[in-house]
Amino acid sequence: MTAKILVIDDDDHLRELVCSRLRRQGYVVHTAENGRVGLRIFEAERPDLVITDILMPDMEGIETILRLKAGATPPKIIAMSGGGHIVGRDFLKWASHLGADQVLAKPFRVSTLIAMAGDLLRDIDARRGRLLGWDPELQPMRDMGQDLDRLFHTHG
Amino acid sequence: MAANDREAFGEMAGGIAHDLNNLLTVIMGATETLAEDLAPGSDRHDLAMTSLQAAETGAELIRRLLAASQRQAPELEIIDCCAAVDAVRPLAHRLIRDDISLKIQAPVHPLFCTADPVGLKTALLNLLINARDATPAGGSISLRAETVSLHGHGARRLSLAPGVYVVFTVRDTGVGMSPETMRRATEPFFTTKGPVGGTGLGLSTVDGFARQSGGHLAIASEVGRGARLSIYLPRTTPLKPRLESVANPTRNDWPGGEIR
Repeated sequence: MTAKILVIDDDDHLRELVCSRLRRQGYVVHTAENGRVGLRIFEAERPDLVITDILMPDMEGIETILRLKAGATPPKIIAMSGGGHIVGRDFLKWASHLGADQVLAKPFRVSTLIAMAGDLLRDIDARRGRLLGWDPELQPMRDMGQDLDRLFHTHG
Repeated sequence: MAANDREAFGEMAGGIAHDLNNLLTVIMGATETLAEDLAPGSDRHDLAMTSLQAAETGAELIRRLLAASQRQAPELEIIDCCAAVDAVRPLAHRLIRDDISLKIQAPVHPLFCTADPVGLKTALLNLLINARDATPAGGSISLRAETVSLHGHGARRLSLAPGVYVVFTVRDTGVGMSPETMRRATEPFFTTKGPVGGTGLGLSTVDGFARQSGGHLAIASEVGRGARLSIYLPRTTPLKPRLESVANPTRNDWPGGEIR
């Protein structure tokens, strides 16, 4: 199942860039320009992961994180911040205390963000897999079994 | 730089940094995406990577700008100053050209102070790089760590409380500074290195670091007679490793009893 991601940032260019890079990875991506719109999209689309900026006009990232985590099925969250204020760094710490699964200081390499997203979504996949009776950790052994089967059938 | 000017500068720097960091994220992300589409090793790939590295240098500049404007709280730790000097030794030898003789000295026994370890390393390297750039015709540079005890006039002259300090001194035999240059040396963006030589943030970062650590940056120089830059940091006693001890260090609290 393709994972869904919601990107919330008030910077248009940044949002577009992150969004296009994530789509390249095969994710379904929704975007919002502030926390208020973000929460609405979250309710409608139920993304697995929310990537949110912290300092935004209208509803800030901290409040957005609190509301997302207060829901019945909270998503994984990556918080980003450009800092720039003495509290800029502390915001990332707060975000982490309040339930963000990962924090990222701007500027960052998008490949770092993609790796973080991949890690968090793998956790979700693994949990889903176990619910469906499929354990990704066992997959390499199954693959090996199939290889042995093929060998057996070819040469046996 | 007057205190209120510094505050206004910090305010401005903090405001701009947030937007600049957003901008750099976009530049870095777009460049990285371009690079991924190009064959590694090709000229175009190299160009994209150069651009990415330049953007990362820009990010570093913002961090230094914020540190210089004293709005970024330092990560204070009790550190061994002698070990810190030893840590910059290999890099210092790479940074200083062969036509300059470099001497680095630190006591064998540990000297403790409370400071941001990364800040200290950056400050020492900044001083060494400035000394190198001020010594274009070759000469000598030295870095020395030692303790001094400041009382009365000596302490007042440096705007420091009386007590024991660890002093890091970088001397060079280079071109020296005029009184005007010395007066402006720690101003952010003030540089004598020309448009491509320096950012003008080196000494302002060192000055900011010294203040954040409860210390002082002292500059002594004359045109044609080299320069001596000293970072004074309050010595911390490892027996009472608490921040309070920085404010009131006493002469006899060193475990070995030996203070030079």
